Amino acid sequence: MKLKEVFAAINRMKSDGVIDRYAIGGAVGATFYLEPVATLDVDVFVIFRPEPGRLIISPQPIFDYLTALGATIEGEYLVIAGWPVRFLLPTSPLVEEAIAEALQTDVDGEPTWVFTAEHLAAIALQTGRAKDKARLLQFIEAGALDAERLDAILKKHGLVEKWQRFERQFLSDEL
Amino acid sequence: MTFAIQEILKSKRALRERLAARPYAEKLRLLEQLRECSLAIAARSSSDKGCVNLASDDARQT
Repeated sequence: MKLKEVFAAINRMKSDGVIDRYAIGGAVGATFYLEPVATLDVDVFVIFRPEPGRLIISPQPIFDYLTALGATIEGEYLVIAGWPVRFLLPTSPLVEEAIAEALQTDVDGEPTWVFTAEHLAAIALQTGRAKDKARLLQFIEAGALDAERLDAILKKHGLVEKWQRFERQFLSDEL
Repeated sequence: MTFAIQEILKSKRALRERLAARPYAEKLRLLEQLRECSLAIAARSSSDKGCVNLASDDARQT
């Protein structure tokens, strides 16, 4: 499986100290909890090891490492085993927490980390595009969310109001 | 086959639940097939071989 090769390359990069932690988000992450969610790319959220003397965090070491292994660069993507992979730095405390609390799983023996369902849902709510809202509805309809856990995350990251708007828009019988 | 919408919705929900319950590695294999299919369509391929039908017997047994 090609995605297994993607995870293997990222794990190798982690073992070699280029990144500290990572977790799979987006549709590939959501597929852990839902039916396969069609996508063309892989979103990988990473935390770097701090480089001594460097104030600006750059993804360049990732690009250097993976291109040396045979990956190619296509715009913002690194193409690994035929899959465009986008490496994303955490842009909010919510995403940092999602990486820290990601679940370890394995794909045909290759370990990998996936965001929890509640973090994927909260990130979708925070991002707020139409496709994110559609995914959030998928999680709800599939019964994949722990309401108590999601509630705690929403409160902690100031998303309660946004959730209430989402509820009124999509989960209310009122017109 | 039925044209009763409630039966259709129930059947679709059951299929989604069956798919969601599969091991992650199996679902990723289906995802790869879906992606190949999407790319083939995007490239206006004349052939749709390799496109996965999630409701097919093959997909159910994958």
